Amino acid sequence: MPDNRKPVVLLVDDEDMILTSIRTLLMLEADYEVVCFSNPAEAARHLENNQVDITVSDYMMPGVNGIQLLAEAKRLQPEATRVLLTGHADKASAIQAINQVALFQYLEKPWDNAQLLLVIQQGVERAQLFRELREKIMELDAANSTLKGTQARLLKAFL
Amino acid sequence: MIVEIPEEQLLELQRQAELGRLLAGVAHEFSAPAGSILSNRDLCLRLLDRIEKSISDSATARTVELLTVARELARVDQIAAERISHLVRNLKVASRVADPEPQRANVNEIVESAVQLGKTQFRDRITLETALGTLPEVECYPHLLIQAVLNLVVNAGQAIEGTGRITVGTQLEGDMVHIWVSDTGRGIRDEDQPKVLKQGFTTKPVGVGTGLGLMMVRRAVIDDHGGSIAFESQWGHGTTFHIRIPLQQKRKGVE
Repeated sequence: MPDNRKPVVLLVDDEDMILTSIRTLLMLEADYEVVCFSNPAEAARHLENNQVDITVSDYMMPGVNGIQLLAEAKRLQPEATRVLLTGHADKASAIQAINQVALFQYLEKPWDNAQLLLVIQQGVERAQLFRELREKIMELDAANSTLKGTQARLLKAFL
Repeated sequence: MIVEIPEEQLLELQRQAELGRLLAGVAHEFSAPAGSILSNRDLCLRLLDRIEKSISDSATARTVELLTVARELARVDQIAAERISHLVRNLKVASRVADPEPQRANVNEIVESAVQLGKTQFRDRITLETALGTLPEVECYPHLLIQAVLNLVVNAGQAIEGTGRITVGTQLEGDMVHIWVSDTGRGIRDEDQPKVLKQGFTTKPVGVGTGLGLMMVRRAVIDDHGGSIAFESQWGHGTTFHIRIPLQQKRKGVE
């Protein structure tokens, strides 16, 4: 199934300036639909009803931290990619993030634009491949059950 | 060995631990604005390229000149923003509360970080130089090593009245790394030398020295890294401190 919609990037950071910087980078250098939230709870609500390809989240935010948000993102949209972009890098939170939310990349602020861009591009591609794979498996399943039905009817007709 | 720590020093240690946490918090607070500025600076350069391309046919000499000025400013911003960003990274490593396990690290980078942090204290009063040898990766606790070297650099700076020079060097010695911090300061009197590495010893006025700096260096180098400390000093001419740590750390974890 060809899909003509633009890939969707979800950005979550309680600092508006970070959202502005990354949104501008993506606007300038890529062709994505960019959705931004400074409130992680609102981002989680958005994920319930809207498909995204990648979520890039800050770690330390009021109310819900980045790992909790990405865990929710994983539950709601497992095939979408998850990236943590944090100013508070420590080993414990990195390990927790990788183990609990199957993190794609762990990036530290201040970040490098070229690197961030590459991570987002690879993450989007990965999510789309996952989704394609799932569709193909569903097609195969459908074809398989049709075959089984036909086989059963054939057996009934001849035996 | 259990050493009893007098109460005022205990309070001082607590105060320093609180300062460390405060510093870590400040470094974290800096990450977002530094990240944003650094990113925007890069974006401004990308935008200037686009603007130049889109008006290339119709650009007047004046427009080209203005674009050049804007690009020059963006370049200065880059230097400024990168300096902030380096400082933030160094602060983060130095103020980290604990690395549970030793890491393979570049000791020359650690020394450079400590020197950069030290520079912020002395400005132009003191020339800070490095003489870094070629080293293999060393298994160590980077935050503790930065703190130890920074402590020695700050001590060296406090020993210098007026202007002077501090040199920080590294070299490989068999299976040890040798880090030395040399200053052109006032030196240590012969009669004070045996007491220097003892906790609580200071000749500095109240508010400058606590007598705890070298104790922390000792703890980091000897207790945490299984290394050694030595110094030589000539009254009136300066002091050199030597730290030696092994390339590999003994596993001290529980079985």
